[in-house]
Amino acid sequence: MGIAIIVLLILGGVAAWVCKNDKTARLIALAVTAVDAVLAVVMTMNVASGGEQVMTFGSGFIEQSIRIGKIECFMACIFGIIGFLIVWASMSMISHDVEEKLIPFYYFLVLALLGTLNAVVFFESMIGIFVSIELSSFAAAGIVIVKNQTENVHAGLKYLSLSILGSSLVLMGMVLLYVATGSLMITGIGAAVQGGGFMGSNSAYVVWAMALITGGVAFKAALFPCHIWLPDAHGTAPSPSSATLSALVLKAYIVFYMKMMFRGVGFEIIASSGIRTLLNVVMVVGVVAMICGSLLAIMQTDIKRMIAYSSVAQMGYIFMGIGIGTEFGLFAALFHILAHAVTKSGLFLVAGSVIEQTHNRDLTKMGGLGKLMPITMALFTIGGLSMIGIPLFVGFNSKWNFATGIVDSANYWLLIPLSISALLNALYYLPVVIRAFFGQEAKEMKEPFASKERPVKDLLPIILLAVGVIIFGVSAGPVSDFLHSGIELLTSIGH
Amino acid sequence: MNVLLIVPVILPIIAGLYMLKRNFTDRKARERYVAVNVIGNAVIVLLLSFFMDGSELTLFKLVPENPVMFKVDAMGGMFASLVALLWILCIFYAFEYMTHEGGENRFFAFYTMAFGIMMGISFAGNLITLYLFYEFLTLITVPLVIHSENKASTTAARVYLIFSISGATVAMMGIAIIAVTGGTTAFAAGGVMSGAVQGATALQIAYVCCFFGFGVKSAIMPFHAWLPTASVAPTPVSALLHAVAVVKAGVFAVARVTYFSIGVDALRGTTAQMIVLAASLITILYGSAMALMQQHLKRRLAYSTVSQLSYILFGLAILSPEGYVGGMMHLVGHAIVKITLFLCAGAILYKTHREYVWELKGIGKNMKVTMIVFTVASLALVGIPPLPGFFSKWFLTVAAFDSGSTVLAIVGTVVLAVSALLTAIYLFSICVNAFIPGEGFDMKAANEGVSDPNRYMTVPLVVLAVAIVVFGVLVGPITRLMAL
Repeated sequence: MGIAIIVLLILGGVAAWVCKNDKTARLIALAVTAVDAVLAVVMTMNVASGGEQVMTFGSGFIEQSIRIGKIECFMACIFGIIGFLIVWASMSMISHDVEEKLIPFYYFLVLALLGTLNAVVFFESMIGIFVSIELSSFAAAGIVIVKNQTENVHAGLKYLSLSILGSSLVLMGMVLLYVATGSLMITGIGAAVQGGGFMGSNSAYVVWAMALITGGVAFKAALFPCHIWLPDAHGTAPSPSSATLSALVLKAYIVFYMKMMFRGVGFEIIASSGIRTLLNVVMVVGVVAMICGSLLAIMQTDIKRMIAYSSVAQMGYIFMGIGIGTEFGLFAALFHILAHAVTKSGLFLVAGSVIEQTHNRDLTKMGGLGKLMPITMALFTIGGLSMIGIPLFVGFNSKWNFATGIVDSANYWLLIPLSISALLNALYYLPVVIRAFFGQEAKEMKEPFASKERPVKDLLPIILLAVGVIIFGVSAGPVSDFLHSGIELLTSIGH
Repeated sequence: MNVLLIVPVILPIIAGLYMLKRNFTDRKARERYVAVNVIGNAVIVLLLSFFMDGSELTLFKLVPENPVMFKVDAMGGMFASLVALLWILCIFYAFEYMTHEGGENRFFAFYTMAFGIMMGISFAGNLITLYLFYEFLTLITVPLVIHSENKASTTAARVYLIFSISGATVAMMGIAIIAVTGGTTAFAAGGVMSGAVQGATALQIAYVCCFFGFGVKSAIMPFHAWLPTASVAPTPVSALLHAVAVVKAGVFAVARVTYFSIGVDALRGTTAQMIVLAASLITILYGSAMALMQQHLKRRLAYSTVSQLSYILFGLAILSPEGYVGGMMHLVGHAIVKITLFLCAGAILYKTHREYVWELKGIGKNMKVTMIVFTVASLALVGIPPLPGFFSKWFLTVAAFDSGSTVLAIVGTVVLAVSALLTAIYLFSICVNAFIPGEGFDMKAANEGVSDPNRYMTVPLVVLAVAIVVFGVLVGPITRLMAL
């Protein structure tokens, strides 16, 4: 079923491109992502009841394998459902940013991107993973450049260059692992590394290979200070692209990294080898990213750049969770992938709506905006409160998971940056909300109220994302249980 | 399961939301609507508190093992009843007062919603539920602080938000430690930590996190700065929220953590206890000294609140049943007294637009009712027997002596005495000058256009003054009600 999703998305993308008509392309994209979402959900139910799905083709050196467990399904659902909502939202927004004749090509890129992201997550053979990573990088840079402005081209090229640098580091790490273990499958590597006595003589190989992969993923997933491409790319891209890039693209590489780390190396080896030092570095850098990302976000006056820097901070949370290196840490990181995907895609789409309606990106000039666009700014408020970690919104569950994960691993000092980071989030999200609804400008607002609001049918996908923020905030139990059993599946190799 | 428990929480919130949508333009209709909702809800609260002790309601699982749940117990019921009764008095006062501030519809909508959130805090059955409503209390009261929407109030709201949200986050870290180390965040009198984890360093960290995190709302040094700043809010807000509801929510949460979650046995004699005792004693002195230096009446009262809240925290931090009773007595006593003082200050501001202490000389001639009530409240706050302040300080001193630590007994008594002296100076100077401004003072000029406000305002004031005296008289039964 996994292969069906990948093929469907890529063929759908090609169809959208060939049709040459922007209306048809939109419909194709919407239909294809809708089917993708349904397939992902069905696949999840199958995997939940029937266990992992494995599919192998080719043999020897080029043998490829797709292995879909619960975590892969979790990601497929995020890609499918959130991807669908973003594409739906883009229906009414995209012509604002992309020329009409480029729209079919835009949807080709979006669908191809979703397809390759799924592939990054599904494949367990190194070659398949690497090819998917490379293709997704091109598609991701493409949806930035497609806006066809000088700044976009610059941002896209910067993104592409650093992305390729990241891929090459990942490739070197893969080669090193192949040399050491003789396997090109994550499970094969895992079986070798976790087999008795392997680390004794090959420890250095594994540590260096993982260090290279960590470095590569740091570029691809914008871990501070390798994030320098992100604010430009996410800030200038068309808003639906920003939402895709931030909510979905970054996450695929993270999950790849998690699989390398926790399926390839495993908790036990992590705790007892040089990998622990590597993960300590990841943890500390993650903490630095959390703080610095937010500090940089506070300094922004452009709404999309602010949200982009906020992503840098949120990636820091995820890397910190991975760096903790325990089951709870991994769980917190995985849950945060969901929390951030739902919240951040909504925030970028809100920002897009605001820019579209008011032609203003400057945060300091958004006084009284809540009177002009009440629903949109209410959605922004929900997103902001979730990012700060107010209970009943999904961000709180994430913050709670990180806090309990930290306590469980006895790294108490991490609670300090976690609190500071929550405060910093409040420092840049709440002033926007306050300025929008209260204060001199809001009080003196003369225009008829709600005059700039977009019609509710256009806002519906963003409203659904906000509903998701609240649903997962109120009831995180089922997802959490699914993730816990998924982690068990992910870390137990050889079945 | 008692579904009724959700009513006092949800009813005011729905009522408030409906007001925002409905936008009452007719004053009479709005006042009737607010009064019916608040009084009706207060009646439900009182019934629940007095007749349904021990009933529980579990709603949904917010985080694993820790659902959102409500439970009525003695402490929660007492706090809820106190808040409910004061809320009724304040809305009547606000009906009149807010006519000169404007924007009443939004004001009363959020004022009503805050009532529901406070009930959530009072009836919370575990720390997670408490934390949930604690965060929402901050958010729901921001529109009230920002009410006049000028530069000062916007700044005040920002300061308030930043302090409160950081505090809540720190407290959440403490709660996370409690949840992982102790396995539960549910409440039970005496604490729920099992013998195995008692005295664990993790719990000490958790306690300090919770004390200072929740302490931000009750203005513990060095996190007190938001409270005087927030006194730019309309007086009904300063009175109800910044003297009673919001600040006491912080104290209430600390009491819950200390006596109902971690438990005193796990904390007595630890470094954590020393830290929080020191912080509360310093805050008592600092608040009183700062109050003495303020010339702006509402700011003086705000600093007085800073000092008085730490009396309660000091009592709680002694970690003994006497300390708890002393703290709770002061929680109730100070709530009634300070709300009275603020409402008097508001009455003066409303009628004369005078905000500074030196402008109040001789004002007692024409504002007799207001200033007599102010004097009664001042006497109570200073601790003149048989008024409430006396008894709470008595219990606090006894608790300090019974704690077994000579240093604590001596330092505690000295601090309480010095602070009482300072309180007497900064309050009595106002009362005395209002009635006896001294020789050669131009009484006529000072009373130009000054008069007591109408009965919307004076009736709540007189009721409060009577309540202060009754509280002093009935101190015996009240003490028994409060015992752990």
